[in-house]
Amino acid sequence: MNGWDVGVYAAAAALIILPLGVFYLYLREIARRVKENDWGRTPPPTL
Amino acid sequence: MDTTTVNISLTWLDWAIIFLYMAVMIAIGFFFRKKQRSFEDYFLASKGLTMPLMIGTLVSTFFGLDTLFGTSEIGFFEGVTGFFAYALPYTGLYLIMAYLAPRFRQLESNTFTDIIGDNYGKFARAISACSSFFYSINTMEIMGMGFIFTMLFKIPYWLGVLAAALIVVIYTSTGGLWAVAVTDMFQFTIMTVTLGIALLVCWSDLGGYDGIFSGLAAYLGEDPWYFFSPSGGYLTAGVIAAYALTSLAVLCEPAFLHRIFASRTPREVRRALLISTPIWSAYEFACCMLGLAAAAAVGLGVIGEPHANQALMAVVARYLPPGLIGLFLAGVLAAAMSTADSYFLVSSGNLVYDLYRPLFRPHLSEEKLVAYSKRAVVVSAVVSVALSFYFERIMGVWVFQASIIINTVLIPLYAAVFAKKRLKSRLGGSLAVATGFFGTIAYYLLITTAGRFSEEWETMVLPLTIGGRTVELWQEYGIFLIPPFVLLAFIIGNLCGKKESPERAKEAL
Repeated sequence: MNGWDVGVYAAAAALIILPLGVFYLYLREIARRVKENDWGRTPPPTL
Repeated sequence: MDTTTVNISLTWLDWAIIFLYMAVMIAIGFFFRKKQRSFEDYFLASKGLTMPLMIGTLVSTFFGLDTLFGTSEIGFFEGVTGFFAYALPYTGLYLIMAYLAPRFRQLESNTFTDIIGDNYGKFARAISACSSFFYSINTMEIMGMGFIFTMLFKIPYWLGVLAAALIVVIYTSTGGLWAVAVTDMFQFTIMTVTLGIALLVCWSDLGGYDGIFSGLAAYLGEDPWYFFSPSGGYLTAGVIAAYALTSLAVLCEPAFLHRIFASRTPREVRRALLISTPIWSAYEFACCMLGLAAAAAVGLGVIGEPHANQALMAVVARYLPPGLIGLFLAGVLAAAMSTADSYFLVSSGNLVYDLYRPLFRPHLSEEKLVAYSKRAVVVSAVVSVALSFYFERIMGVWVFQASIIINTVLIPLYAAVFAKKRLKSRLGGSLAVATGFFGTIAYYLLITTAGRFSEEWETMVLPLTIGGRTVELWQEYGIFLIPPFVLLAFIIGNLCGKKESPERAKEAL
């Protein structure tokens, strides 16, 4: 195994691990938003 | 992109994954259909994009089929130079943007044309919106999606283009940026993870570096040393610097800036860009190495000689098991759709928010602004689809698009954001955008009408004889020749124009 092999496996690991980590954070956030129906809508104008 | 020779056999599991992916995209659009009350909700997701959503939408938007097939094509022919010479300059600029972007978010604008309009007036705003619209016509992704649909479903190309565009239009126009960001999140995960798995499986099965080196030697019939040379054995520092200049588009990329304005806080932007950068780099590297691996696979007799831009598909289809092939194809579709949806949305904003409302209907209600923006998504899609049937040489379109946005917007926008105290008159910005916009159009008209197509360089070239010496003007040179004139126009206008405060320019809007 030389430097290129290490580079390729590191890139593959980054492409698998980082996005899955980001997706986990996203799922946590989206679960909260769905539960609270929080889509950051601008509040309707008050009368 | 020629897809006639890639033959991928799919199992029921692969088909199920592909159809599930498309159904989920449409369902997300409908979920967000009733969630927008204002233009800010529709176009900017209520300025509520947090770090994970920002990462997903930024990475997936900026990596479309051009990266997947273009970088792997360079890897197939030239090896790792596809990453080091062509892709790495972008990584540097993403890092620079991580430190510049929060300043844009602090301004509380909705679009970059707001900033230009506030500082230089209506004319400059309209011209920069036109340049953004030209840039955002995503013919390349539409053509790519059409080819993928044609390959998958064995339908005519025109039908493939229409079907793919229809899916993107449905979820983009109904759900706005929330739908785009949430679908981008799925698309981001699918396209990156499947590419990572494909790289891992292909590289290992071909025997790692040693096996691939022997495969390349067999493919070339000579020492393949240059496949692992960052300069490809032929690129000089000057050529690499010239390519790096084209990556300046990142600094004024409309969809990039759109996401920055939609983020929740300036801090979220910086964190998102810092985490996205290694993912972008790994993605480019993976595409390049899979192209290189495909050349080795041909040498080892594992796959037949593919068309160069299908190298990645050919090697991946050979090594991935059923199920993962379906996921990978969904990832390829995701790469195209996530880019197309963003530009449809941005160009709809250009038409309605930047052009129609300020020029013709200044008192347009929020409700109508949203309704018209939804229709404008359809208009943008129709223009992109029409052009995808018209243009044969997609690279020429892309060079024009990158040139027009850099030449028109870069100097006046950055002056307004980072050197606001030095702005004396709005004439400087107006002259700069006009010089950049009309100068670029005039340059391209000149090259395409008076020049000829060079088979050797595969670009339009205009030979000029000056003092007995012949100089060749390439269409790509517009990106280098016009900015000095833009800068000059900006300085002259700023110094000589009527002294006016930015507040007055803002009031004039």
